[in-house]
Amino acid sequence: MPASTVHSSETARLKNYFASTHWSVVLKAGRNDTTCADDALAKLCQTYWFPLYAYVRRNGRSPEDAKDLTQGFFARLIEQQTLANADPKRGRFRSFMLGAMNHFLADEQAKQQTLKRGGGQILFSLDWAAAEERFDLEPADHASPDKAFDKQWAAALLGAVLNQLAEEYRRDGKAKLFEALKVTLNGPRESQPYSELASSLHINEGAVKVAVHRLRKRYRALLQAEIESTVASQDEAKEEMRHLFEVLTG
Amino acid sequence: MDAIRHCPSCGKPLAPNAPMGLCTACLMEAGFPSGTESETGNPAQPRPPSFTPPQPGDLARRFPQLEILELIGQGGMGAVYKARQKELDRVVALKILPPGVGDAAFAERFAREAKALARLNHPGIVTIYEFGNSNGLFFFLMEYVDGATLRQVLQAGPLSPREALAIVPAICDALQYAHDQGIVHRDIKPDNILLDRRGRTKVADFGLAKLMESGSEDSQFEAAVPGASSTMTRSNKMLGTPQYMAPEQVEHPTAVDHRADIYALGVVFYQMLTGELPGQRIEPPSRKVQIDVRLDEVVLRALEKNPALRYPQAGALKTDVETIAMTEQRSSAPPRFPQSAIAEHSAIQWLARLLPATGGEPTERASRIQAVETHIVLPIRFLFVALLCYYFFFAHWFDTPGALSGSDWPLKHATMLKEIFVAYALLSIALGTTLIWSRQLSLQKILRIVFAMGITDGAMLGVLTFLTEGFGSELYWVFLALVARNAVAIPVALPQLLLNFLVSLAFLTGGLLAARVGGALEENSWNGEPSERMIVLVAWSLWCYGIQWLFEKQKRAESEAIVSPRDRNG
Repeated sequence: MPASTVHSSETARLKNYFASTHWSVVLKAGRNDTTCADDALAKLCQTYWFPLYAYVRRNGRSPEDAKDLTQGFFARLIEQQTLANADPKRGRFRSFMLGAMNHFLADEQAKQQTLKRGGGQILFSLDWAAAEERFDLEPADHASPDKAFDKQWAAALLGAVLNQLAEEYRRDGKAKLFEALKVTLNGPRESQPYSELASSLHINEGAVKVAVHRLRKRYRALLQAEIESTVASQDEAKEEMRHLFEVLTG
Repeated sequence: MDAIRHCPSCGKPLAPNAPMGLCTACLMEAGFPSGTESETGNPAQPRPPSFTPPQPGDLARRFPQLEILELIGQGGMGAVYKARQKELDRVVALKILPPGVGDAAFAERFAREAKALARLNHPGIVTIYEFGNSNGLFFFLMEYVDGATLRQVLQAGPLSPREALAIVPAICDALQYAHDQGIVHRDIKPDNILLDRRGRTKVADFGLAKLMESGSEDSQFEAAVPGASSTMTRSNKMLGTPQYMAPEQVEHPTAVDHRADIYALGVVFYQMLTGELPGQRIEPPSRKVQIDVRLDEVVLRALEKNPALRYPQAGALKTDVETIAMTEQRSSAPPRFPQSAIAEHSAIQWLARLLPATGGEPTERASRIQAVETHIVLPIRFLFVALLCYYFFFAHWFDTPGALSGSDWPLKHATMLKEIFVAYALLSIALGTTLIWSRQLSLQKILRIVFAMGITDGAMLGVLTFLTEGFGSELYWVFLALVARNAVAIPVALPQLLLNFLVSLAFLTGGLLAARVGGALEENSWNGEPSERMIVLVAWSLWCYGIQWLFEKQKRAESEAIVSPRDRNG
């Protein structure tokens, strides 16, 4: 999965991911230029760069341009020029990033100097080749670019959560269990009946039920935490989750 | 990777960016706290089921004895057709479960459960005529109800409280009957409540939720049939519609008892009354719509999160609802019935007890009493205070200018004050009347209430007249004191008429005493010192509040005495 290649090198850093990367922390620290906020922001960006890249591509830029623009965008973000303008009241990382990107694109277009800013500068080792491949695979979506961005965003968010979950299971030596049970996250009693899962895992059916229950519970907790890390308040987290769900189903 | 993969759960094409090959929409859905889906606004709106019901033509081959007329509904648990039994020439409803639901074990359980369901024979329950398995297609042949589902009715617009109060007892009857037979519905929702053209209510799909759920849990799906399992899962998700599910049903779907049905009925009831589903913090329905506040208690009790606190039986809920429905109807008829909506107001309760037909149970809570009193009693009191003020002060003084000798103050301020009082009066009339009539009180009853309160306020005004004759220029203070006194004294219940008189008498005595003191002060040429006048006013107020406090204490004791027998019964 391309999604996991991006993150596979990140697994170690994901350990403390949820403890430190709170969007509200970034917001609060925004004006104080602390390294903590930088770090938190970098991690958020690491998770959500692809939606931005796809958004730029969808705006009609060539892969090369998109790559440069995305890099440039991050460069500016890290320089804190954009972050200083973040309004904590409008609290969502997603909206903020989209707004900032729109702003950035308009800016860059006016300047016609995309290559100067951030061009060639490697901030993150992002998998650009995989990104383009992924982008090509996207079905021709007639949704608005904004909506497409939100969809990508949701996918990136879920990807990060799943990776975190997988990492936790791997750490506990239960990688195989996770592999077997992850399909159950897609719905209760998914394609494989519990009995089948039980025989493939050599445990009894009751134990499968318990394991599935735990997996789902942990997954929910991580997803909540991840969403909360991109918004300013708990209320907004609920709202954000609902929004993303609607985007995905709509 | 050209072949587009589909999510086995929701059937949508999988996006290539699907993390770990899982469907994003389903993943996000799985993230919602399972127990509170309804509370978070239920993002998981039922999507169209992936199961495609067979065409009537296809079914005709399977059911030669039937003439399949039309598809009348479909949901997660199958599809329903209108059909005619050729030999009997009887219109029936044919319900088929999604194809490929189960194996031999399911078939066995289906037969067992269906037999139990078919034994349910009650006018409020859709009767099952026949059931079986036609080449792997499980079906029920049921009574055809010519009408609409409650959902359809609710979609057309909200129900009047009266209609809701007629429907709920019928559902309770059906539930109580089934519960007595040991059958729990487990999926009470507006879609399963049918209203026929003659206004009868019938509950459909008893026990189907359990059948379907246990079927999917314990048996294996026919793996050979692609899509069979996903169909089942899909329908599974639709089971026990989250918005109507009791908390314990979410937690332990297999271990619920009949009280889960009572919870679901509570949700339906709430929805009928308010047009909305109860939110995370359940707002009493009477805050949203104009209904008898006693219904709040009924709805909230049905919606208790802890099953032990709910109505123990559907029959108990029915009794409460019927009591309210009956007394509400009666209250619009001539008086002598204490159990009207206005009985919330304790003063009126006491009044009501003087009347011959006492009894019944005030079910309201203190806060609600206060709300009602604030909204109904306050305006009326203001009305009376305003009117009495007007007559006592202005009419009296204008007619006897001698009382004002040497002072022209009332003439200076009279116009303004008069306007204020008149405005109060008009506002009170409008507000009070609207509120009272919206609660369907008889005119006679209104007059009684008004009379009872008028006596108290009138007496107080008399006191004030005494007082202010000495302190003419304190009219402002008097006015303020009146407003304050009314504001503070609103929640105070004034027991019986007799007690009302006693209160008035006490006020008068206090007033006279105060007037004496005031007069003495005046004679001692303390007149003109605002602080002394204030002392008198404060003393008078304390006297009044002291008496009121005593009555309030008694009121509390009495209302506890009223409420406790009911609690014991409950």
